[in-house]
Amino acid sequence: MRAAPVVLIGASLVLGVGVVQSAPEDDLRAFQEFYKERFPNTPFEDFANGIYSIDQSRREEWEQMEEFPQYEFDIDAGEELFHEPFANGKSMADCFPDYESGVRQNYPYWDRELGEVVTMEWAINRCREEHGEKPLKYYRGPLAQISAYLAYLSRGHVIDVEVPADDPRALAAYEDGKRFYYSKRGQLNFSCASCHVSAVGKLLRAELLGPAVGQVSHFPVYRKTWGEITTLHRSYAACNRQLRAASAKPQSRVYRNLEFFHTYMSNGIPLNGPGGRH
Amino acid sequence: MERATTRRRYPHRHPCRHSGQHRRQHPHRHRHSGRLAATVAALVLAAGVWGWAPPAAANDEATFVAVYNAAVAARKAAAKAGYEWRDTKKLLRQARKLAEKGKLEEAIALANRAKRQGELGLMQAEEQEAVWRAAVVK
Repeated sequence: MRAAPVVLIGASLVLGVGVVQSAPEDDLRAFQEFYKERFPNTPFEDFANGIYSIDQSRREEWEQMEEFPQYEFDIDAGEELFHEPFANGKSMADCFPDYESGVRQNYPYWDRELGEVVTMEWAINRCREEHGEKPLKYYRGPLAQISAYLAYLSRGHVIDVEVPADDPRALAAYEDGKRFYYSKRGQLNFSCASCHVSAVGKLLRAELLGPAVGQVSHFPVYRKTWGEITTLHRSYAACNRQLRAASAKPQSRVYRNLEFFHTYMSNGIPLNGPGGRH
Repeated sequence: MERATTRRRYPHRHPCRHSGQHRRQHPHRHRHSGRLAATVAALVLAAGVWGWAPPAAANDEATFVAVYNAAVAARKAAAKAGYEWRDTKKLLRQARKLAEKGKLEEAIALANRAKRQGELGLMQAEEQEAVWRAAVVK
C-alpha cells in the first residue's frame, strides 16, 4: 500500500502529468493555432498588419495613410544618424556589418556570454557605449529613428527567434516573459493576454484590440496620437499604465524578457516595420 | 382644485398640512429619516470600498507619519514583487504636500489609500503567481 503513492508519482513524472511548464515549441503551436481559429479569414502572414488584418474598414483607412507614410522622414533621419561617425572615427555600421541585407530579424536573441536577452534598441546603445558615446533615450527620437532605418532594411525577413534548449537561463528568460504576459496587474487587474488573447477583436471603447501574433513585426511605429516614431518598449509601458500598473523601465530585463517571449510567439511572420498606426 | 395642482407640482412635499411637533411625530416621517440613513450607509460603504478609513486622530501629525511610513513600506513591497500600481507614488506625493500645508486629515486619508494600494498590489502578486499558468493558451 505504501508503494502506491510512489508508483503514482513516478508514473506521473514519466507521463508528464503534473508538469506545469510547457516547452516553447508547444506554446508557439497553441498560440498561433488560437489566432488561426479565431480569425479563419486572415492569412497567417497578414497578422503582421496588426488590427488591419482583422478589420476591413480600418484597413482601407490605413492603406490610404500608407500612401504617404509619416515615418519616411524618420527612416531618412535614422540613415543619417546610423552613418554619422563617432568621436573615434567609427560608426554604427562597424557594429552591424550586415546591416544592408537586414539585421533586425536577428533580434531579440539570447546572448550566452552576457546571459541576457539582447534587443535591437539595446544593441544600438551598447554599440554607442562601446565606442565611447552616450546612450540614446529609449522611447523616441534618434534611437527610434535608427531602429526604424534598420527595420526598413529588414522588411520581408521572417521572424525566427530561437530559445536555446541547451541553456536553462534562456528558458528562464522566456518563462519570465511568458509569466509577465499572462499575469494580471495594476488597479484594473488586466494582463497583456486579457486584451490581446481573451478579448482580441473586441472593442475597448473605440479601440480595436489587436492580435498578439504579428504585433512586434511593425515596430518601431509612427503613432498618430503621439505624433512621433516610438519604440516597442514605450508601447509596453503605455499599456501597463493604462491598466494603472507602474511601468518598468525601457530595456529593463523585465521588458527585454517580455519582448523575447512576445517575438517568439510571432515566429514565421514577416517583418514590415516601421509601421504607421493611429 | 388649487390644492390638487400644488400637490402635482411638488409631489415630494408631504401631503399633510400639519406643523410643529405634530409633524415631527407624524408616522410618515420615518420615510425621510430612512432615506438619510441609507445615504449615510452608502457613503460609508463607498468609503470602505475605496480604502479610505476615517483617521482616528485627525490633525495628528504622529498618525500621519505612521500611516505614511506604512504606505511607503507597502508600496516598496509591491514594487519589489513587480506589482506596484500606477498612482501609488502620486498619492504619497500628494499626501506629503497636504501634510506640509497642515491639512493632516486629508493627508492621512490619501496615505491610507496609498497604503491600501500597496497591500492590494502585493496580494495581486501572490495570487497571480498561483494562477497565471491557467491563462496560458493551450
